[in-house]
Amino acid sequence: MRLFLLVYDRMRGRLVDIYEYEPEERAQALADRFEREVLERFRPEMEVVLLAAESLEALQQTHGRYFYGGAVRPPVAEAL
Amino acid sequence: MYLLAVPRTVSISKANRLGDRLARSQDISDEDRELLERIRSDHDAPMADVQSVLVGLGQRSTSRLKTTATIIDKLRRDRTRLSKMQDIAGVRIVQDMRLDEQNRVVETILGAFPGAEVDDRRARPSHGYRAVHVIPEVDGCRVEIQVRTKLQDQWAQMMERLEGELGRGIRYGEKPIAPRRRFPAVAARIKVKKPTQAQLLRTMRDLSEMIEAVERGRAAEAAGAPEATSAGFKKRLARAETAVRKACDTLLEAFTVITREGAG
Repeated sequence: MRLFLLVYDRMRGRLVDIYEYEPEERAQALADRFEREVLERFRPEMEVVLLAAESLEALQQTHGRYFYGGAVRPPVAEAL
Repeated sequence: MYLLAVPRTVSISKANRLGDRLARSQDISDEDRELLERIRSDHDAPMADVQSVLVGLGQRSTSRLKTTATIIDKLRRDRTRLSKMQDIAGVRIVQDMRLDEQNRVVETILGAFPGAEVDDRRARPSHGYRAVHVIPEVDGCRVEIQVRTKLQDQWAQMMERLEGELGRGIRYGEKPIAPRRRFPAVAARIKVKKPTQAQLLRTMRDLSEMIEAVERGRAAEAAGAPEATSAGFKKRLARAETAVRKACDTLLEAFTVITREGAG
């Protein structure tokens, strides 16, 4: 499964960041997720979530709410 | 059989003490944050294993570890013990399927995870939320597999979007935080005169029941139930399903406006 680290602004209803990881980068993705959670800890409206899926399209099927508002910037296909 | 929700590297008592602290405190110490990260990390491999099994069954899914905020929220509202929390690791299956097809997916999963707990929220919806949850234990960790039809999922995702504006408590049956607040921009999309938070919530509850009615109708039709064979029934069902799907699409788009309005 590919991994997608999403940073979502719940107040504005849109994605702030998307990072994509290869399956073998799972441990790094988890570490990056925890690090970003700490960075955003004083902003309760920010949701930091790491999702595993076959593809971004599969993710949009099961977690479409993150994508309806569009992204502030285009998806970034590289790790932190 | 008692199922541990935390791996043996963190004792039940230690996890529960952590849960008690998180539920009581406004701030999280660095030590507590690291301990919670450890507990969540320990659920990652079992969650990945479950997803691999589902791939083998031909079931497409996505997975996620619960966020710190939602874990703490649940500890506070449900007064859940952290060692018993069943959805720290979550896997989601969404398909455009009938209720009987949903049952078959659940049976397939149970075939791979015999002894897994089943929580059928269709029979006992949680404030409108419907799905079937299958909760196996893998390597000492519980993993919650959510099996949703497309309509059940759309409803759930709409509610999650609304929580940003109406407050997370609405999923627990609480009133919205500003029940009389109105949304002029939403009114234009759903043709309701400046709906309030309370009205939007009632709309969602009504929609949940409409979804259930349509899904039961489709299942009855597929089963060849006597009441579902008439042309009149099929016509009414098709109209109802079209209306429900259109309502879901419209509301999903309208709720995007809500969150932007809320941000000013």
